[in-house]
Amino acid sequence: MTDDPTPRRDAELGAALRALAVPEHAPDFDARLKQRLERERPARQRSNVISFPRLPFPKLTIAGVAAAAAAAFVFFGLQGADVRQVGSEPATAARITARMARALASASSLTGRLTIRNRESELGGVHTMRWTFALDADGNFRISEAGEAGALIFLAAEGREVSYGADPVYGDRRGLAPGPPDQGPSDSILQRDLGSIVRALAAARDVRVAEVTHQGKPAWLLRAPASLRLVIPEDPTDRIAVTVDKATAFPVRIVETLRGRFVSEVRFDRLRVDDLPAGTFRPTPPAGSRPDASDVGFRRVSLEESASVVGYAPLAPSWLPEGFARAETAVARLTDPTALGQNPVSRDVVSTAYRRGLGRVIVTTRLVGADASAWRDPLALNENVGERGEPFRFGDYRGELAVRAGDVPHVWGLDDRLVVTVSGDLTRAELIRVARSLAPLRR
Amino acid sequence: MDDALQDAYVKAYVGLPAFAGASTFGTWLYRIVYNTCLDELRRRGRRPVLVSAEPPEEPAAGPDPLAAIEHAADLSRALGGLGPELRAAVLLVDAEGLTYDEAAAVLGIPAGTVASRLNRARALLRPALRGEGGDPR
Repeated sequence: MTDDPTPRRDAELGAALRALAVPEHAPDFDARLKQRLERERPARQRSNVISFPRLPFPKLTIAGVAAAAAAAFVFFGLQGADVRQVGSEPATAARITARMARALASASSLTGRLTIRNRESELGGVHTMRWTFALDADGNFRISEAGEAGALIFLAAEGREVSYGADPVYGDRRGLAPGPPDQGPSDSILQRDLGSIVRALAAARDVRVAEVTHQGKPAWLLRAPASLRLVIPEDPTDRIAVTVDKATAFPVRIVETLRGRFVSEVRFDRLRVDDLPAGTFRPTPPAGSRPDASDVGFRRVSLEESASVVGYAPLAPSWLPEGFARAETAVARLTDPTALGQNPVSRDVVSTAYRRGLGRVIVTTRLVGADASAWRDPLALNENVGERGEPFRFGDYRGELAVRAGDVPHVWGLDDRLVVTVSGDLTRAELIRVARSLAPLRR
Repeated sequence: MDDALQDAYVKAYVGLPAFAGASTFGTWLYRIVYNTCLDELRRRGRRPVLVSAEPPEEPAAGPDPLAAIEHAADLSRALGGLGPELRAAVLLVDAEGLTYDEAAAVLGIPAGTVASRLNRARALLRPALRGEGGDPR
């Protein structure tokens, strides 16, 4: 936000500009556009089967937040936390953060309920959504809207996502990539939240720690001048309050504020670690329903096999943080463009996921094609318009490094042949080291 | 212009499922159009005239219709002579009514840079608005 109170619009000039004539479209403009959209329809349908874990509400503006928002903050900012002791304890904060990191890295599965609340408008209304979820260290997950019979299930080893509800048609997306920047599972909330909380706390300089009870259980409350932008990645926040369950060291509640006013809350409750019911990831569409099948184009292969499919040696890191191991590799000869369709079509893609507990890192390579200048950050999303990564070079690849709130940490770069991305649950230093360790896989 | 606009519409159509609703739809679409136009400029290697240099069919409001038409032609030429960055800033804020922050999101630059581009663009366009003609290039 800018605070400059000076006049912002030249009304006279604006009126004159609006009065200027704009060239008419060519007579066949509408017909040509319709033809082009028809040609794109299959790709659009492939990516449109299910999207409910994305947040469907519009951007919220910060300016002019009414008193009701402050009341909402008081309510949501204090609810559920019985503060017993408050102090500035960097050593304790560091130990808690380290425990959180270990918990995420060592868990084999996690189930629970996810509740998201965010300020809905300048008038201070609060929007609430709830899901139940389950995820495991193999990359499988299941999300169900609370109170609904349906579910969205991603099967990592198959690259398949099945989504169903009460409709007679259920979504069956196959050939999905392991994750960004290509079309992967619809898991943005879960994948982005857990690791980013730990990174933000670890990077914050003044973390205040309090002993509290949360829903009757012992917990720590960590408050820090940091920004996660968990719910609305484009909306600024300046402080976080993270409640951490002592028994599991998992974050159970994250409240974000801006200048003392409530922005959002993410809450995990009914958490169960390493206690996954049998059949959690077995899709069970309603009897008699029929699939709306689509295929994004990725196929699971071994990393070694991928070279023979794409015709070049894929890159693999010679260094990863301790505990990460290769989980799956997928290849696609041809798949949709990245960066919201603004990059060229992706050809001969190799995407490899490395996992450690519930964390993951994804390395991808694809052909540059004829016009290297046409490429921009493949992981660029609308959430981060206005923010560019910093220039970064790794090996012969020139690109950008982006570690910022509301986004998956990543680097990207290209030489005259390949576009390369590295993204995932890494600190800035780890990201740089991983990227600089990339080398062509030797056969 | 038609080709760039068609490209932008197709990109928006393909990218819509990934639109998370974190920005306004208008801002998101503006950004796609802006980037597509810049790509088109780069491909052509020259500046296209995005706004007609012809006077408007309906004269801008003013006491003297003929003078208004003449001033509009001057303004149109002056606008066409601006670089794409300055032109986009002044059209988004002054003509389309976006806030500095919204324009910054569309253009991928800080709001302060929007302000400085606006200052330069307005300084180059005001002589035409006052009927003083001139070529900003």
